[in-house]
Amino acid sequence: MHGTEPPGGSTADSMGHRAIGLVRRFGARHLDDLAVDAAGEFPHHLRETMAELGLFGLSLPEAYGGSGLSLGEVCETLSVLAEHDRAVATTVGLHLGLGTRGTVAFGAPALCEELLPRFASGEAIAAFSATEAGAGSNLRAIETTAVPVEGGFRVTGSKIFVTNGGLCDVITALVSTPGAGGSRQGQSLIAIDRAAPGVSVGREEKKLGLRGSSTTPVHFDDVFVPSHRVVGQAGGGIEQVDHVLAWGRTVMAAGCVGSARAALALARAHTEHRRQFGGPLIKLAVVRAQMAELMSDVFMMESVVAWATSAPDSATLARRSLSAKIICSDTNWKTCDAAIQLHGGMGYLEETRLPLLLRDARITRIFEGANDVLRVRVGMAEVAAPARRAPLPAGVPGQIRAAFSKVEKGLHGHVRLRKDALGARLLARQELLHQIGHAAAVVDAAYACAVASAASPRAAALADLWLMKASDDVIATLRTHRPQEAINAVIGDDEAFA
Amino acid sequence: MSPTELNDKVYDILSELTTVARAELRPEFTLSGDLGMDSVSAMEMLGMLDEALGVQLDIEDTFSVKTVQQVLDLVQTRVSHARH
Repeated sequence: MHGTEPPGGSTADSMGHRAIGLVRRFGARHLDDLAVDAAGEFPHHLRETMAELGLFGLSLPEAYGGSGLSLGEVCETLSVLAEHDRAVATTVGLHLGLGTRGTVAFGAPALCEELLPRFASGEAIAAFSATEAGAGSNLRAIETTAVPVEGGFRVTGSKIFVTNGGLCDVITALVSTPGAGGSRQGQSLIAIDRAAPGVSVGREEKKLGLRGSSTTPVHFDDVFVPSHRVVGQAGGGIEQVDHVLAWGRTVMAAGCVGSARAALALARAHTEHRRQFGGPLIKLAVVRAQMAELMSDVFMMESVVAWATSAPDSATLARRSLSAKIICSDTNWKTCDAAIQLHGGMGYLEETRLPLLLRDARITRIFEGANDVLRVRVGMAEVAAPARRAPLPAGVPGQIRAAFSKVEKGLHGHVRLRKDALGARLLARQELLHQIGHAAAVVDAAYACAVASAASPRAAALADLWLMKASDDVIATLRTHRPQEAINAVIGDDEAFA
Repeated sequence: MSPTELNDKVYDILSELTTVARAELRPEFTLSGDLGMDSVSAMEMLGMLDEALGVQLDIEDTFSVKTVQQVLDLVQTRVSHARH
C-alpha cells in the first residue's frame, strides 16, 4: 500500500494554493448552483474546463498526470469548490475519494498504468459501489458476487445509490469473493468498465438535494472482468474499503466546511444589512449570539478537517475521519438551518440559495456511513482503547487548555465508570456506546479547536466559544438516561414491535 | 449450564452476528477470514456473550480471540473460574 500523505495544508507558493485559486476563480466565473439544481444534472458543458484545470487529478500521483496533492490540500480545494456548488464538489470529491483512492493506494502497477492517467485527465470518471438493497450500514452482507473463471471473474449483482453512476466510465465495486486470498468470507474491490457487456445503469434517482450529482443503481449481469482488475489483495476488500472510506469521509467533511462557509457568508451579509427594530439585525443581542455561534461552528469544522488530514498514518486517519464526518455533517446541517432562521421569511425562498444549501447538506448525515452507526463505532473504539491525544502545543491559551482538559476528563471518567459497572456487557449496550461515541467525537473536535487556537487571538476567541458549547454537549449527552422500561412503555418490547 | 450448552450458546451468537449458518460453523474457523467479523463485530460478540452467559469477560479479551475455538475456550474458562 502506498504511504499516507504528509500533513495537509497548502503554503502560499504550493500546488495546493494554486489549485485553491483556480477553483475559486472557476467557481465565481462558471458555477451557478441554483441553475445546476434546477437542471437536475451535472453541468456537462463544464467538464472539459474542469479537466483542463486539473480538478479530476488533484489527488492522483504526478507520475500518472495528477497534481499529487496531499489529502489536506485536496480538502482545502474541495471545500472552496463546495462553497460554490455542492453537487459539483460531490462529483469531483467522489471521483478523487472513493472512486480512485482504492486504485491509488492498493492498485498493482499495471492497473495504475491503465486507469490513473485516464482518471487524472478527466477522460474517465470514477464511481464507487458498495451499498445494496440488503446491505447499507452492514457491508459484510453484500450479495454481489465475483466468481472466478478462466482469466478473471464473472460478476453478478446489483448496487444502489451509486454516486457518479450515470457519469462514470469505471466503477470500483465491493464484491463477495468467497475463498479469494484464503478468506472464506472474503470481499474484494474490483474495477469494472461501465461499457463492459452485462453492466447496466438504472435511472437517475430524484433526490432531496445534490440534484446536480448523479445517483443511480448499477446492475452487473454475469459481467466478465479480467483478473488484473482486482484492486489490491483479493479478499482484502473490507480493510481496503476502510482506508478508502477514511479518505472519502474526510473529503466529505471538507465539503461540509465549504457549505457552512457559504451559509455563514449569506447570514453575515444579511444581518449586517437587514434593518429591523431601528438598526441592523447584527446589533440585536440574540442575533449577535447566534452569529458568534455560527462563526465558531465554521472555525471548529475547519479545525477538525485540518486535524483529520494531519493524521500520521492510515489507522489514525480512519479513527479521525469518523469524528470529522459525524461532527462536520451534523454541524453543516445546523449552520444552514441557522442561516435560514436568521434570514426570516427570505430564508425560505429558493432564490437566496439557503434552501439549496440545506437540502444539499442533508445527505451528509447518512451516506459514507450513517452518523448513528458511526457514533456506535466510535463509542466501541473509545471503550476498547481510549483515544490518546498528543499534548496541546505551546501557544494554546491556559483557559482553552483547562476547558479541553475538563471535557476530556469528563469523557474518560464516564467511560471508566461504565466499564467498572458493566464490563464487557457495555459492548452490547448500543445506546450507551452511542452516547459515548457522540461525546468522543465532540471531544475530538474540542481538541482540534484547542490546537488551532494557538494560531491567533481571533482563533483563540473562536475556540473558546466553541469549547463552551462542547462542554455543555458532553455533559448533557453523558447525563442523558432513558430507562429501557420507559422506552418499552412507548414502543412496546422487542418481540411486540417485531 | 453444561459445557455443551455453553458451546451451543456461543455458536448461536456467532451465527446471529455473521452470515454463517449455525450448522456450518466450525471450531477452526477464524473470526476475521472465515466469519467475516471485524473489530466492531468482535466487540459486539463479547458483549452479547457476557450478557447471555453471565460470565465476567474483559473488553481486552477482544484482542486475544481470533478463532471460534478460542472463543469457546475463553467462555469455558471464565465460567469455570466463576464457579470456583
